[in-house]
Amino acid sequence: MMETPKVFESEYRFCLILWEHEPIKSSELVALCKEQLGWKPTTTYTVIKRLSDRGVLVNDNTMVRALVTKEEIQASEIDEMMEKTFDGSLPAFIAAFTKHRKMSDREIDAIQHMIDAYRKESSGKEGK
Amino acid sequence: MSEIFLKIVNMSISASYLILAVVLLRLALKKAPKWISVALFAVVAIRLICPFTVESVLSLIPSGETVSPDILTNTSPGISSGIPAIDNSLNPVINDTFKPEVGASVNPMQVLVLVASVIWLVGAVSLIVYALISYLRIKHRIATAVLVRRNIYKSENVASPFVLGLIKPRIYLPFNTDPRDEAYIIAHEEAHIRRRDYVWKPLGYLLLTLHWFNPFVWLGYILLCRDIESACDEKVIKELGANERADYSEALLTCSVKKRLISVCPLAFGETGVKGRIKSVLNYKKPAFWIIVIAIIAGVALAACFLTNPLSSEEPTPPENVADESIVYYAWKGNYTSTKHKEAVMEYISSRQPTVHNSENGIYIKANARIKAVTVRVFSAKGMSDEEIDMTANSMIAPMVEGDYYAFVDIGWLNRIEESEREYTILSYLVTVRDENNEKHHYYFRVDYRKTVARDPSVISSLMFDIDGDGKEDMCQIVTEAEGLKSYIYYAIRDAETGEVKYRTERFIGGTGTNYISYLQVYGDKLLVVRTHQTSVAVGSTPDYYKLSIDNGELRITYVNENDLWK
Repeated sequence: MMETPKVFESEYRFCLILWEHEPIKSSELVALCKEQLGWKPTTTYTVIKRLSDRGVLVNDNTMVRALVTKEEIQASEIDEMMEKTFDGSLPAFIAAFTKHRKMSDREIDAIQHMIDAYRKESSGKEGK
Repeated sequence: MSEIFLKIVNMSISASYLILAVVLLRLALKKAPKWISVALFAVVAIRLICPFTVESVLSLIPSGETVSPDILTNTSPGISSGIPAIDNSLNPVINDTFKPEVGASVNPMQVLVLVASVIWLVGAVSLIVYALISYLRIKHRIATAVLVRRNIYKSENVASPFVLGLIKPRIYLPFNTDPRDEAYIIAHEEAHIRRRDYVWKPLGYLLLTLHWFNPFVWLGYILLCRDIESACDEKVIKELGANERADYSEALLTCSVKKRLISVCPLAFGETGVKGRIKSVLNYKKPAFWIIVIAIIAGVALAACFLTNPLSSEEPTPPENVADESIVYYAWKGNYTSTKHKEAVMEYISSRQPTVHNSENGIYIKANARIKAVTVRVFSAKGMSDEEIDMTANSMIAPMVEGDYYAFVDIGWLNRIEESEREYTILSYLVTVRDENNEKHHYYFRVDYRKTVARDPSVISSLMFDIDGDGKEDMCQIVTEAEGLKSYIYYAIRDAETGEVKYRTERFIGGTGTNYISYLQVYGDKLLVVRTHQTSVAVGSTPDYYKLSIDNGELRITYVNENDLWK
């Protein structure tokens, strides 16, 4: 039996649109993706090609049709794929929420303690 | 390109003092809101990018131009950092190492600066290219990010949330963001957007690429980034209650923990960044109003003291030991010269005997010297005994005698005149004249070589001479440059009525070969110029006579045949 192809979460959202409207002209699919996903047309076409190569869909003379059903997609593989493909480091000139860094369990616990202690202290004050 | 590089170096040096001040001020203003720290760095940015500034007495910058562009052509190269200890220890070394050889085809200082400029350019371009590549890679990764709402997107290719986009910034979150954290993360990123950090951070990085060689700028950028994060934290939590602040801290903690334990970045391990931020969040108290006022005042003071440059050197006042009789003196500052040149200077001085010109208006003394090498003090020994004269003298005196006056030209080094540490291309002539009532009048003749044709005068001969025939003496100067290949006559006319001094410069028809004007003398209305030729085999002197006159405001130089001289 053929192995079910894997998809990323973003591709999964794309597939949701496809399953709802298939079979659909690729140009209409582009419009829907722009509206619902915020994707540029080039992005949509790239994804169509990628998923076609992976056997998830088929693009037959601009008509796009899914080859896999929602039930068959192994969404649980998503996280695993993500971790393997990149490391997530950001250059200095990007405004980020925080830096991703390796911390020891002890460090994490210490900080968690700090937060918990603060909560206790504040709730004690508020209770009065 | 060397000039641009030197400008950037000077801006960088000036900015370093400012960064130091900002770092100290930041420590002092720990209780003030963090957006003020960020604003201080905006002041730094101005200093790093703007080559122009105003001069102010408030300036705390030691020197606005530590490395002058003149260093490339100066025959005695050196720096003027504004800190005497540094100048005095570095300049002798610089001069010894990089002094250009007369007649050599390359100036070592120019080579050094050019090589440094190229290295700088390579470094800057590399950093910019790296940034562009990083940006394109991120853009590629988030192409498939899906719209959540407004300007918020989610992607599986995002590990920690960030803002991207210069014109229409968007917030990017990981798909698996904990819903409890999401609101706080979005609030933080929106704070970044409202503060326009998505513009300031890349701008700061751009300045970093221009000043990558300066460790202070790196320090400044790192601190700026930290302060930007803290400022956003403050913006979010100041409206939050205690529990919410704890929740915010949890979000920070969650997002900063790297789940994968395989990491090749040992530096990140144990960094207290997140801990520090959470601590600040939990301990946050709204800053008192007066703290904000003090911080703003401090910021303004900082700008006044560090965005301005120190006042440039004033014209020197006459040194104290100038005789009270009418004399012309000149003095300038060259760069430091090494002791090797003492003898050479002596040669020049002795071969160009200074002379005294005694007229009914006063005594005028001229002395010649290599302009870059010496400062000259002139004083009168009138009334001193021979013994006293002897004791005052040192081995570098060129005595000049005429009539009742003994005058000594003392070859001193550049420390003697304290007004300016810089190389100095302004010559001042203080002429004191006694009129028929025996009253003194002072006239200040100023020659600013920066405004003249003669760029790099190596020998100057000057004397007082009535050029325009109005009975009042004017000043005539012959400047020889380029090792004797070019001569310029420069003169200043003193208006008989108003005493106003007007300047002109004119190209002088010189002879062939290397010529130094070794002697000038006035005969009536004619000027005797004696030029000494120096070739590799012979030294000879040629006397030429010229008649100088002013015709319609223009200087006329007419060669006079010796036979016609006395007619």
